[in-house]
Amino acid sequence: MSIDTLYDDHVAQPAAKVEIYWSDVTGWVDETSRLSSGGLRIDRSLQNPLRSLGRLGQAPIGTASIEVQNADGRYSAAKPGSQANIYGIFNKKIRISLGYSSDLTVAFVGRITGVRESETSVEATLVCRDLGEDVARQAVRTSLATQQTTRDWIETLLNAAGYTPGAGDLEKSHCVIPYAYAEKDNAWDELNQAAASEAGVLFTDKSGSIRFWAYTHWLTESVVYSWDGDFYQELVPERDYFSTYNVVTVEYEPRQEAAAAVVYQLHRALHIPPGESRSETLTFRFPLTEFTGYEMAAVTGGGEDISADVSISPASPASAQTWEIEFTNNNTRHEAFITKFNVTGRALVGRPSESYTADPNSVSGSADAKELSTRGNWYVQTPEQARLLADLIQYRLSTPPMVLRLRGLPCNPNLELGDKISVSGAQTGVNTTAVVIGISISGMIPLVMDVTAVDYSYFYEHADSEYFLIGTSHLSTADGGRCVY
Amino acid sequence: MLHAWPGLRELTDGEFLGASTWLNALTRRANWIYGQAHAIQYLQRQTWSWYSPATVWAGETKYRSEHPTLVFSARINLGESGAAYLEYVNSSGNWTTIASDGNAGDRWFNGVENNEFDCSGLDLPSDGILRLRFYVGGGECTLVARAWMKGEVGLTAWPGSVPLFADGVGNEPTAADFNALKQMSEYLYDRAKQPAYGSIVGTVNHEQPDAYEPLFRWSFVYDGRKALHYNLSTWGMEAGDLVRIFLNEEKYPVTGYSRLNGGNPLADFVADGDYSGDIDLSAYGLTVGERYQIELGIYPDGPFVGINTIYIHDLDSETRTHVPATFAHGDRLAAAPLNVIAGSLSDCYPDASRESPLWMIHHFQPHQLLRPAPPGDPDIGYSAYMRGVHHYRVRLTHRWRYLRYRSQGAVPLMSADGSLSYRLPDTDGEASVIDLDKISWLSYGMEYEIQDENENWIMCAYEDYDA
Repeated sequence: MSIDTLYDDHVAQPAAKVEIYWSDVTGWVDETSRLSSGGLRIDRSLQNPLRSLGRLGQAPIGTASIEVQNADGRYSAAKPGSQANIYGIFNKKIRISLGYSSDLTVAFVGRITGVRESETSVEATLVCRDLGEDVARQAVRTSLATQQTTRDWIETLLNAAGYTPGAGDLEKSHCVIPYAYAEKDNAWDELNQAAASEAGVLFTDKSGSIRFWAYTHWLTESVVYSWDGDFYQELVPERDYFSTYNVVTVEYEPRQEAAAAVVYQLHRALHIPPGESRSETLTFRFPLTEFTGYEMAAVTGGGEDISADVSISPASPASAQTWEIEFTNNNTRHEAFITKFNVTGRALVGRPSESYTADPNSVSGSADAKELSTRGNWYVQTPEQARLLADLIQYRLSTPPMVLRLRGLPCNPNLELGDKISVSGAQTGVNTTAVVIGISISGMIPLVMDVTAVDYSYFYEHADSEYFLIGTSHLSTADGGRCVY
Repeated sequence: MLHAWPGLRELTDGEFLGASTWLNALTRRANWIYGQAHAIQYLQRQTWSWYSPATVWAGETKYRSEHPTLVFSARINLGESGAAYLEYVNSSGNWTTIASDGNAGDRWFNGVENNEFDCSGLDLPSDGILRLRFYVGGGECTLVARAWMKGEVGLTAWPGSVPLFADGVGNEPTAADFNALKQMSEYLYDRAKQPAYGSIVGTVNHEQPDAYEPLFRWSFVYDGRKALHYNLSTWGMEAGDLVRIFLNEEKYPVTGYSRLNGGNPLADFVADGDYSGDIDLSAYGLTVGERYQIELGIYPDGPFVGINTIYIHDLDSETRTHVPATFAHGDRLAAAPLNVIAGSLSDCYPDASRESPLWMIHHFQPHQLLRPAPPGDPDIGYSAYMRGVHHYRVRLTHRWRYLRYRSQGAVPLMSADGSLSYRLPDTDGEASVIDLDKISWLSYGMEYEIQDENENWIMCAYEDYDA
């Protein structure tokens, strides 16, 4: 039987499995027998798509903590001869699978980022973060990308962070980012900013894959679970009247190329002994849309020009704002003093910020207005992006967003962040479709699950089926598909 | 205005179609292209000379590998020992022959009316400027009629078919249909990217008693119902004097080419005054896509005419058949507005049958030649054709971001009314480029001119979309 069937029958015996990838030699090692009475806890969440742009882009890294028996010091790195001592434990890959007896599914993949041990207890706690952490700890540097779609730029960032997304993990995006580059920027922050630039969502799924969803993702999704009072122990609907706005302004920051100019000048002489090389990192005043060349002058200590004896590698910068360059002095007699190294290129420069305001009821400036102004996402560079964000956020925030907190559900490891669920409660009168934005699994076997979801009623202005799906919808003013933003 | 071109992604089936994120961006593209197709068209100056030896014509442009073919047309009449040379400046700074002709008699240069030369193998300077001169020794030149680059190497192709959208079930459009619109816009975008040259204008007179003398000839491509706009001043006129504007076939006065309008002028100015107006060219039976010539002359010696500006632009009565709509979230998509976008783009396809053809012509900006060259330095623009002409200017409308120019001394870039100015640095006869965004008062669409000033003179100036 499938996990869902077993889940629904309320009878099957839940099971869990914990594995650690100690080394390429050991491969995955089953650690399940060492689970202690403290059990485990998994917390994963998604940024709230009903929140404003200013609060988007902060998809947290999922975490897990696992209580394990450590009487033999298996997880104590300082204990000679222990597993952790032999292989190390920090950053080891860990996998948690949940399900029913032999029918298990992966619920968390991450890395061990901490171990809490105790001298008086036989137990230890493994503290873990999901595989998004691999990207989150990277400061990336890229060349300048022009006219890339948001999706393609996200892929560029992921690749720069050493991560290759799986096929289909990154959805088609809606916007084009005119100019984008990273210069030792935190990859996770940049990824989330890029996703937020068109109200998309970026997160790590339970199998450890990084995913990007466009804001239209849920239009084609179906409800996967329907939960009423028979399933949960508590349902807490919360409406946040304070966070409603009827006017939303989104600022965008156009960029443009400047004419070719000197963007780097050497401010001190570099000396290179005969026959030797020297590496330097040149940081330009501006990122370059186009590298056009360099001028170099090298002399001996006596002032003789030996520029021809100095070679450089690589011949052009690999990233937008820096040049990791190696100078080689091919003169076998003289030390070379590089007195001039001017880099020229076309700089990417900003233009004055502009903004778009969504104010469908024309209340801006009046006492009836409650305005939200967002700025600071440098990937938002075009009026198309600003309009999408302002209109969408204005619609979503024009009514009090409702958050549903479901507590004490039997653990269903098949539930994924972003799933559509149906929730009903007799006492509160709630009967709605919602999108899962938080999953917490905790305890001993059988595990329990708390779910946070947001009301789907205000995701889109029109019914899902009314929107124009390319290749499927027909054209008609009467009953044709509707444009999304 | 290149930065006003919005990015647009390729669509695939199974996606949702966005209003502001896709359709409106496409609409902006269609409108941008229409604006390019209807941009003010300055006139390309034609030259001639019966003095020899002389550089009869010189001009330059930024060479682009997409347009590798030089189109050049000149009529010569050499003596027995005469020769004519079409030359370019190579990477060493030397004039180098592209073609030469030593045949005596009245004939087309190189024996071909419209020469085409492949310039892809030329040894150009590092700045990529293709600078030409047409030099005649031992004879005369009736007219240098044409100089431009053409070619479409690597440019976006027009889609195999233009989508026709239809309402109703069974006619569901696919991503390929929408992407065809995108491709059409990119085809036209590629062709809109061509330098914007200016009209060379100035103050002229002549010294031939009892004779009409043509003093300016400019050529242009007729691309629809367009008006010739002029703004000029005349003085020193007496009874019977005339300042005349003619409309001619492009290669007039070469034998076989004639004046239009029955040989009559489009306009005569008979007294001192300031004149400004539009002449409706649609009244003269011009063929869309063909080139014509505007000639300005004076009868007889004595009067002066100061030409402030001259260009081709839309008639006030111009209409646009396909005006794309703006889409909003939630709009039900119908075939009609999509077909309007397709129609707007199709209207700009460069074919004489279309409403707003956007011709791919990469013109050379002619150098100012009506100026005595410094002794011993004929390279910087010399012509024996001097007729008391002074106060030369290059007249432009700000359309692209970069200004390429070549000057001797610093020269002023002035607003059309002369109230605002910016001093262009001396380039000492070398090609240079400046970012016009640096000139705070110069906004896109503003007409301006670059003037000679005392002994400093502007040799050449034109706008380019890329530096």
